[in-house]
Amino acid sequence: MSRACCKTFAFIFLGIIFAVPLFQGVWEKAVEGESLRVLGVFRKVPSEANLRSFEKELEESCKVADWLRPAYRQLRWLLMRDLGDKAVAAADGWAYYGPNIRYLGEGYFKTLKSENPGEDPAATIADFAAQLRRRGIVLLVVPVPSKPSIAPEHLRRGLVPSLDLSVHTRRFMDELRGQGVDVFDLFTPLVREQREHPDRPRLYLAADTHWTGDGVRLAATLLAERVRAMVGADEILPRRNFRRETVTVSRRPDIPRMSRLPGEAGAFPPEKTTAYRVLDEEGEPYADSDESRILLLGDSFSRIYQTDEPEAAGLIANLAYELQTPLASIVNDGGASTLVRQELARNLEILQDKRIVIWAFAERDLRFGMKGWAKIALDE
Amino acid sequence: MFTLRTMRSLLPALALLLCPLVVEAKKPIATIDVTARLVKIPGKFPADDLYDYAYVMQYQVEGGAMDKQTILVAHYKPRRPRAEIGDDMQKVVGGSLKRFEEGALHRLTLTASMREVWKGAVVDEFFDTDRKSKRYFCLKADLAEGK
Repeated sequence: MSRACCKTFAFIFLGIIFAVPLFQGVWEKAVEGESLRVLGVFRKVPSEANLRSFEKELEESCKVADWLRPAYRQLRWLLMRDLGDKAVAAADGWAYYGPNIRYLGEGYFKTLKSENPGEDPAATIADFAAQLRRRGIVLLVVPVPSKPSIAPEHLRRGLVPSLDLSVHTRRFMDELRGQGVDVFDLFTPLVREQREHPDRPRLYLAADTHWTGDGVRLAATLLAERVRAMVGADEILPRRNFRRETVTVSRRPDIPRMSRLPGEAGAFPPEKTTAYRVLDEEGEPYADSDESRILLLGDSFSRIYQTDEPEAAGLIANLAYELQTPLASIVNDGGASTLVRQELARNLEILQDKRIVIWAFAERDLRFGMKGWAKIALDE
Repeated sequence: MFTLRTMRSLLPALALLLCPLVVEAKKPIATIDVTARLVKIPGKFPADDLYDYAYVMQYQVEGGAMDKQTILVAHYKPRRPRAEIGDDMQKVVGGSLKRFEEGALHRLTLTASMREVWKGAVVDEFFDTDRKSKRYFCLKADLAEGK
């Protein structure tokens, strides 16, 4: 190769390297009218965390990448049916959320390096249970199975519903029981239902992280039985006369949406599911009552169908129907590990007259809960 | 039979009946406009691809009713420019601010009734040190001049 040719390639190569940050700088200054983001590296102590955060920020704010990413995602999907690192496309139009699969494959949380050291979920939950006990309230912990734990069939041929998939969560539940905390096992009945009755309506949505309306209904029925046994039927107040109606909901699946696949609605159309909507004596949709003896702390598994369409058809409403009493609830999407207890700590009056607190959270939160598993003193 | 006259006589009654509905529908959210400097972003913004959340930041008010006060303000989806909030909250959250940077001076429209406008997750890293201070929710954020 001639010297001139080498120089040309070198200049093209350097041009590609420098064009992106130069363009970014011009864009930020001239178009956005803000200070150069790259200068942010000098505003903080150059620790590992700060530098990683800075690098991530640069990646996310890069205009050139912003323009190229949709085409890249589209190409990756068309050529390889790849949804990126957040999701896994499976057979028959199904999709699974990456962290749910990662959670199943990783070791028990105590044997792994935690992102939040010192925040052991079991210790935090036992501490919370003890604080409630001092107020005369019992705690019932309900880890909600993620889709791959119950419906792994589409993920890989040959996989069948099995309790072996939830080994980490069941080990965690045993640990909690050993510390005197009541735990409700949804895994055993849901796996049995999925394995023994494949003809019945599905329990989980195909391309969404959550359960179907039938999954919600089954979970509420099972949970109600346990609540009645723990609290006693006479303590379940105030009494109401709820009824239930069937509605069909069309839900835009969340997994393709978070993969940011352009035109994801074409690849994964909205899925229809039957939801069970709860109405009160006047025919009005179910509404919470702070006077209830039961408080439910939950996440998006408690929010779906409840405040989402069609409303009043989620876990909370269906549990209220089974128990024929309204519930009080605090629901925090993705924040059932710590954020939901922070909110409770700010609204302690909601604990007045409560007999039981049901704490339902997605099992993957044991590893990936937003803001970890911080201990929170309710009385501070 | 319904004549124009009978209809006219029914109008006041109809207006009285509808009045509470109109009042209910137009109940405004009280807002506060401040110019404040963003003094502390206490941690990293969590990813917002699966869950929507608001993130609490610390401001120092410069001028106006709350002059020199330190306030805590929750911003919805702080990873995104205010004008690019593309979900249901775009009816509530607005402004021209592109990004959040410590030291920047912002013009903010706030509400003290956060739960009336945002019922989802609030990532609040000030919780351990300050539970009692009010958390404002930001409805509109712009970069103020004189940064």
